[in-house]
Amino acid sequence: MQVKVWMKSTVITLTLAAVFHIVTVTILPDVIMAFVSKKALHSLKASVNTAIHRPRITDDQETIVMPCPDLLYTICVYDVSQKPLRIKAPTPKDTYFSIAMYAANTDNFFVVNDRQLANGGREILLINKGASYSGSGNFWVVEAPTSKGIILCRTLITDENRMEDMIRIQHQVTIAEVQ
Amino acid sequence: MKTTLKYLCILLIGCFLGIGSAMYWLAKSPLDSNWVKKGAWRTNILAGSEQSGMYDRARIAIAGLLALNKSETLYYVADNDDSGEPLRAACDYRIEGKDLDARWWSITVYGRTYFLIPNEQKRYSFNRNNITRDTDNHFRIHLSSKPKEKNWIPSGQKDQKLHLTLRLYNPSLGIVENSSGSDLPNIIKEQCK
Repeated sequence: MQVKVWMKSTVITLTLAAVFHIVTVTILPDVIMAFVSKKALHSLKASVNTAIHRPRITDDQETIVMPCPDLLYTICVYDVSQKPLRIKAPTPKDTYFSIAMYAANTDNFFVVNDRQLANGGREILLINKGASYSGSGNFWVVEAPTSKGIILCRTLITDENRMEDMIRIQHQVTIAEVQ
Repeated sequence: MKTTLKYLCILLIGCFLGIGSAMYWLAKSPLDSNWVKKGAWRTNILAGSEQSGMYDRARIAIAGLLALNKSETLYYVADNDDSGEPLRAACDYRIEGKDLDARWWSITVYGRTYFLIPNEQKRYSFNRNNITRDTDNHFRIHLSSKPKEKNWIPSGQKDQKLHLTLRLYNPSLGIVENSSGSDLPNIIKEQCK
């Protein structure tokens, strides 16, 4: 009888452990992403759906792990549950530039670089999943798999003596809600 | 009361085991089918991808958040030198290689917690544009706590584990399709304190 009780307790414990294990691994990316979004908004005193142009990353200016110190980052914590977002991008001729979009679970669901932007138009419209947009224009219309996430633009610093040029390119990124 | 206490204990033990085993498994060196190894370097070919499994997605969230997918950027990471020993700030290393087949590449050094290592020079990486090459077009990066003549990345005064990341932006199709076939830089230990 005593053995049966112990076996039952062990089975319940292991089942619960398996459930907690799977739940932890599954929700961890969402939790980290939510934490990073909140931290970025708080530390940079910014609001959602606005572009934040970050200075060059150094050891005392990090907000996420493993930043690339050779890039200038522009970050935007997005929420397209109410309104779509319009992203205007530069098409620099002599450096790498990209716009990447990440869902709430960290998936990189869209990325476009300077070469593709030069060929396909310079504006992107980010809409909520299932939403539609009837406006006209030379847009890439991108459907976000989750209403909240992060947009990250990367401008490569090709020449450290031309930092002003690089910053000028970085600041050409604009992100705004479509009214 | 006794039964309630018993089930509460079971819940707590289950929670501890579940979360503990998840964190242990995620911290373990990941070498499943989505990871490709080449010398001391390894890369997850599904990093940033919507096809990532739950373990890979969680590992990337911990140690490489906001990674791009492999057609845009390939990320190789190294925690060990070529002999398989963990990279440590107390040791000097040479990172030797030649230009990689990508639009742009960089090698960056991170500390134990995957953040940049503080140093007066604000030097954390070298890349295709700012590296000094030898006459045979090879490069040699010195990772050391002591100053070196060229291509020096300070590893700091605090002894800690180090991580290297090699980024290939817009890699060639050959590398994208065969991530283990490219010639990646060697990581050679010179001496330790």
